[in-house]
Amino acid sequence: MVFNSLTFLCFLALVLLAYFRLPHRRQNVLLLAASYVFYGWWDWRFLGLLVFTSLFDYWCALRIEEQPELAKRRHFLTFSLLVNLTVLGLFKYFNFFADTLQHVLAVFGMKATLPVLHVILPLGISFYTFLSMSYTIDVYRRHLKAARDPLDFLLYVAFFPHLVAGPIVRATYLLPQCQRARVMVPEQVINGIWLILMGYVKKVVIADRLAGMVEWGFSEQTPPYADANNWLLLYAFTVQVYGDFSGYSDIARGVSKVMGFELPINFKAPFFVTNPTAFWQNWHISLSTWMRDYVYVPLGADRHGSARTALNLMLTMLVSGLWHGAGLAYLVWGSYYGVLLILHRAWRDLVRRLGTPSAAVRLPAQWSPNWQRAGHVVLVVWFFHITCLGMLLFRVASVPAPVQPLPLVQSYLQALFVWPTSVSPLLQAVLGLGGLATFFQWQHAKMDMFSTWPTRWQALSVILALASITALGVFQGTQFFYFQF
Amino acid sequence: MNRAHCHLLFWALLLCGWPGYMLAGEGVALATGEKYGGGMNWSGQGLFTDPARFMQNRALEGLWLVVLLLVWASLHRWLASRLTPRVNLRWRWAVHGGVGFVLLNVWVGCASNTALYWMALGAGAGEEPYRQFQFKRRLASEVQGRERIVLVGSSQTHAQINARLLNDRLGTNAWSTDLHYPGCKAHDLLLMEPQLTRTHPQWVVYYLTESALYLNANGGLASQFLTLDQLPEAARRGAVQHIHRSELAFGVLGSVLPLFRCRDALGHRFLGSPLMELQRRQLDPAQIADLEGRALRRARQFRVNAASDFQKRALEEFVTRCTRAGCRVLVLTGANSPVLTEKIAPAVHEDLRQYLDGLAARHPQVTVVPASALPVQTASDYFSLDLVHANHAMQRRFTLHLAELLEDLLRQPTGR
Repeated sequence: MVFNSLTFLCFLALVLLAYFRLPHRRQNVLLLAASYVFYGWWDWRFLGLLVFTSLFDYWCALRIEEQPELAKRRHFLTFSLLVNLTVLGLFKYFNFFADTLQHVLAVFGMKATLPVLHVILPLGISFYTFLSMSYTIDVYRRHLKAARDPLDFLLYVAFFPHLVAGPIVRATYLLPQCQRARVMVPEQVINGIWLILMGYVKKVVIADRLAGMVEWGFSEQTPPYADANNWLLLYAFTVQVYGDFSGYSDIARGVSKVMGFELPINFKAPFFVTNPTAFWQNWHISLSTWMRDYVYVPLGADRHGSARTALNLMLTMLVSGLWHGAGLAYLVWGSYYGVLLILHRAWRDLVRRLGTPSAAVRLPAQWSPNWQRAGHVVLVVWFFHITCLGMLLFRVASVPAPVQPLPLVQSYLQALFVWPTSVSPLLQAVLGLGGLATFFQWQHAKMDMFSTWPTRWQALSVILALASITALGVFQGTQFFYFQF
Repeated sequence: MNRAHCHLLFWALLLCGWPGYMLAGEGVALATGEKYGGGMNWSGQGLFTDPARFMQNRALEGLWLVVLLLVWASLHRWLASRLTPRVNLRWRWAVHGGVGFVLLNVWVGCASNTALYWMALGAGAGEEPYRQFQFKRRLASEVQGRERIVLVGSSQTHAQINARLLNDRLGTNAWSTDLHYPGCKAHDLLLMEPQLTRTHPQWVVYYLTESALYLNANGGLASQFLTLDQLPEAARRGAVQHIHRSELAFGVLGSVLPLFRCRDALGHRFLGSPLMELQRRQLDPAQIADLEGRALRRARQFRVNAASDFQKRALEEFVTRCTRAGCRVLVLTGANSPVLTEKIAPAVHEDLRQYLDGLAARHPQVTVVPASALPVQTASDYFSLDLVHANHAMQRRFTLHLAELLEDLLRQPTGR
């Protein structure tokens, strides 16, 4: 069941109708049942895996909590992580690692035929595995008490708004909301409704409209244009991914708010940043903070000198790349951001050493405010193009089989810097939809406070949102981009 | 200038607009038509007969649309003021938003009855078929003093008949309007019927090929033309079994929300035709080049089955309704490229022949022209790598033949 289908809207209406009539514990039972229906609608056979992962981590967390000795706690944690990573590895990475191992062995002249698993990737497996793992780690670290009631924990993992494509919510954040009775605040419900509407605009208007252009642009071995017009495709893809994923997050947050839950913000204004660190503070925030807290910090973060910090950054981004998909191209994409983060950190250190108090990139203080602003815009535009190049790597990671990723990247890079003789007729669409996406980011802080807007603006926004969904939306139940992860 | 001034100015302009139109509308239109008529006819691609009348009608529609806009704003204000006191302050946006959205749809519903609205949605090259259909339909109903002929069918109708050339040949006797719709099947034609007969044609010319009856029933047009009141009858006829449910649902939704109905035209207007038409460009060139293979695959899809019976029943009903509306139907037994025709099962050709004979026998107002009475078409008369669309030379030949045929029919007393 996808958010942009009639089935989901009917499902949501039924769930909400029942939800508001029930007391807290029964609400949880209803939500858990609804979440399993939601997940099972795609393929009921994988429900077992979800339930197994949840129950196993529930049991492990209880064992971890009751162990007074650190060593024993660590045993249970290792056991939990091993099982989780095995499940993830088996379904998502087995073929990739087997294939890579075969290639490595072939380099050394050894021929090995490793088995290939013909299994479907369970929907949202990366999301719920990370969710579950973070819970046991938090219990191990004594940041959180283990849930006593399995219902609460099962609901925390399977809660349908975030189940298949995030945000990756920490147990410290969501579990208490499952455990205590929710208080319905009208403002929260109103904000939720607006988030749902905005999410649909981002998904069916922005992302799905651009999807056709992206599919067309990346379906051949060579780019469709011989010149810089190819940037339009990169813009389109970047905006599409933003619209698709942030749209999903908005709908997830909106639905949760309507039911009295709060999910964390997953996207702020990633196209308005000037450096990679800020980018990851604005893009898929729940994943980047997860990576920071459960990979980067345990690796030592920046506590062991520049070289080690660089290594930690690179490893973290490689894990992030692998999280997105089992493929070399995803690793390349991860390392691209790893390099950017390392370079940015080196630049910051250099600036610090030169005596500038702030760690951020600063434009010369003697510039007038207007020049400062213009300089900032230039930096934003510059970094947006860096992001788009990263997106090129991200896109080729999932191109259809006959297209070879590396030659495609090469031909793109050659064409992108050729001055165009004419402008592509697709410019109007990219400008229009990109402008809309940019507006949502520019006003992202206000989007969460819809209930505080003047009535006139609220009404106008609702009319515009409904009109754009109705008139410009694509209603083919297109899957969300991040479902594949 | 504050809001009150804006309102005042707007109302003043509007109040001046109506008397201005009454007094000088016709004169200005005549003068404009006289001076720029040639250019307008050229840019209008022969869609209207009288430039002065065209101008005058557009001015009138413009005034109506502005009035409707004002009515929309006033009604919104009135309804909202009636409803909001009963609603908690923090939920008033929902009332304003909901009422505004409903009224916006009402406005679009009204506006879509004018040619001006559809003209404004024109996006230059890469015309969107629904907009073209609606625009031409409205212009067709403005033709006066001539026999009105509407050309219906799929893109094959458009490929075979050049309406502009046909009008040149018919002179002042008759005026034809091309109301074809790509992918149109017989049942789609039935769904379009209320819109077609609203142009009060004397003749409906249907270029009918096997594709209209024997190919997959999902033409995709139910989502554009089905209305809520047609649904029970369509369901009774078996549409639910033969047409994809999402198409029917979209049709009903479009019937309730006119904004939804216009979505393709609006998409073309606001996002540009290149984006909207990208899907068509995604055809595999290797597959396109394999004409024989493609013909074979396509020919296998033509079947005499329950779906073709459903289409035939729909055509029968369409013809009955046209007759009831006082117009005659000319069915031209069309052709596909011989590359395709020879691969279609003979049973399909035979079934079509028998059906058309029966149709002509059952309906005296229907004239069926057999393929043998129409210009012979060879594979070279089709665009290269195209199985169904005739080239321009063939189109010219066919149109001239049709013009002669129509002139004969128009001369007959029963034809009037």
